[in-house]
Amino acid sequence: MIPAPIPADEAQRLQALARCALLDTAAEPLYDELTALAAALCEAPVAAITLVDRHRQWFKSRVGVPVSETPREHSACAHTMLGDGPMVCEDLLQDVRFHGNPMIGPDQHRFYAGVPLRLASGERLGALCVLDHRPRRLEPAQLERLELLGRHVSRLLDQRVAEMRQAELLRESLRRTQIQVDRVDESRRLLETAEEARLALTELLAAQQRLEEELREREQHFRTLADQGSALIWTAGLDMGCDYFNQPWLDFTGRTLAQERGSGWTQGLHDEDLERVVRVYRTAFAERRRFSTEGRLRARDGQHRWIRCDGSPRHDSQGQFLGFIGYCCDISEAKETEFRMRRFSAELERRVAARTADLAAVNRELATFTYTVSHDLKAPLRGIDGYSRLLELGHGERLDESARELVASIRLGVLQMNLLIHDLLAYCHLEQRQVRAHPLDLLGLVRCLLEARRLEGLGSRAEIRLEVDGREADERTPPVWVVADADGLQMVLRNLIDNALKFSELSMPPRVCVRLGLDPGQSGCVILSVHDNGIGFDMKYHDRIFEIFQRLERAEAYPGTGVGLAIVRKAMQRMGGRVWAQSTPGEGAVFHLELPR
Amino acid sequence: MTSTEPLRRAILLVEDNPVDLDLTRRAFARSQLTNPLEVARDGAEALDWLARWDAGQPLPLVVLLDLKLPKVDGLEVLRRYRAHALARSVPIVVLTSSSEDRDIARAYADGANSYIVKPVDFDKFLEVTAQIKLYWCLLNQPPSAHASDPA
Repeated sequence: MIPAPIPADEAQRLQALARCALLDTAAEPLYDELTALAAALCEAPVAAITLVDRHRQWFKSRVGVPVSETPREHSACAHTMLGDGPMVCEDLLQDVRFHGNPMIGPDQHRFYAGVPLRLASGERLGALCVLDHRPRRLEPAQLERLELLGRHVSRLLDQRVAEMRQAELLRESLRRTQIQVDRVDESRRLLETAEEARLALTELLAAQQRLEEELREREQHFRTLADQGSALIWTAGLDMGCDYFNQPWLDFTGRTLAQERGSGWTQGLHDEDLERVVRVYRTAFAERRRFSTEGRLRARDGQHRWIRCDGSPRHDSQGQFLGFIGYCCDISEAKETEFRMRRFSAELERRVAARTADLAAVNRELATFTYTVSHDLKAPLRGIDGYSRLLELGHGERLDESARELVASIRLGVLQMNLLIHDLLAYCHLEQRQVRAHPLDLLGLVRCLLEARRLEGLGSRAEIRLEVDGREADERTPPVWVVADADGLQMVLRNLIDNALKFSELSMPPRVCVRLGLDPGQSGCVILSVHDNGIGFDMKYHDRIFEIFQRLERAEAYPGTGVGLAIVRKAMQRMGGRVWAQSTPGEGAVFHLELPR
Repeated sequence: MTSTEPLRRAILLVEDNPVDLDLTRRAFARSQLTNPLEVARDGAEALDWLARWDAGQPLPLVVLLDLKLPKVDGLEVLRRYRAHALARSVPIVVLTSSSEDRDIARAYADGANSYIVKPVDFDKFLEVTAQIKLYWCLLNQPPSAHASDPA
């Protein structure tokens, strides 16, 4: 088998074939009619219009051919295409070029006749061919007509190329037109935008004009405000220099705006205030913080007047720092009053300090006094008692009854004096010592005191009862917490319980009840009450019984120093508590304590 | 040391008040105390004893010290005794009128062995002296009279 050679202009030929744009297109009657005509004219069962592609031949139109394409090396038309005239093979089996060609055989194609198809521009694209299943010949007239049909198909191909070319040109032209259309659209859009911009600008200008008017109005308003009243107003720019002073300022200083501008205003400051005020001003500027200061400013008449100045940073609507604005007012009169107040207050403080010092000295003296009392007043008492007792012990048998009574009276006096010294010391100590308040168990404290009294044999005849919240206290009763000074509270309770025992001594039997409980009111305090069924007192003496050295009963009936309840009241005052009493003569008394928890 | 020695050793009473001094002497006499009673009439005299002990006089069995003294205060005497090589080991009982917390606290802080308040009631004072005698002169084992080196 000898495949047709590849022509020298193959590349150009393939380009022309592509320009036709016929490969793999659908069948068209125009070509199919010519193919059918060729088959009929040549009385052949098979006919085709063949286009030779790079590796195949493709049938644009076919009669009696079952496939749409075959390989190029099997193609007879590829040979035909190369020639200038028709190619006729009366028996393909006899032609060496087709030996071994699978398309050619006893039961396949034996006869072939084809004419080349070429464009007017010279490129060969394929062939128009007829085939038969037996060896045969074509009549000269048949061959002539086949050639005629071949030329016709060639012209169809030329036409096709021209159409394609035109279509291409048309597309190009369309593309260009589209570009122009696009450009026109764009221009129109630009025009529209420009119009919008113009409108916006006009509006903006109008708005700006309105703003400027508003600003002028405000400026006018501000100036009216600023120039009314007595406030001295200034503003300063970023450079700290003042750029505006209101009319009251200028009226006050009697200077012109030009003189005051920048740092001109500082010339009016008093020499003693200049450095401080400028420092405050600079610091506030640097930190952009409000400031308030006072200083003396020279007024129109040359006299300095005290001015208070409050400055604040000012900002534009974007928050950008612009400088400061300040309001000043004349405070000379207030200042004068303040100076007088200060002198007065200094004098007052001096006097208070002097009094306090005097008082401290008195306190120290008192402390020394009580110390001296505790030592020196007791020594002669010890002497009197000691020698009286020695008299009894050593010379008792030589004394008669009345002498012995006299000695006993001396000793009783000593005992009384000793008690009085003891109570006075306790009272003075209450004044002097620090109160150390701690939480402590009031119930436990009362129990200890009652137990101590029992051990000392005091009130041995008395019925003593202890109640918490209305019920008799036992071992399971929980502690009752109060905040108090332990020593002070002990002294208070001892005095109240001793009093209750003392004044109920003659009752039958003496009854003393100590009641503890939360204040039923809202105070949140603990109330302790000591009840007795003793002689009681008239309520008109209520306040007197708490005063020092006050006694309602004669000493021989109810011995005492008249200091006990004064100690109680003083101690309760010092601990932040209260004491008061209720009584009816002959029906006993109740003493109440109120203690913080 | 013999068992009879403490009975012969002195009690040093530092007391300025003549009444208290006399009552104390009488009270000790009533309690049949056999130990001699040496007396210092003020703080300065109390300090003079330091030199005598340095010179070899026997140390007292116990010192009864009043706090409120002329010339040198009782607490100062206490401090000086406690700083002294020999006197530091002598038992010191503060016997005073003061029952102030401040005085009690200072006395113990400065090395007192006991603190007793002088009662006004003479009967109670007699009890106190009897107790002092019983405890400090009979029950208590004092350090050696010459405070010789224990080694």
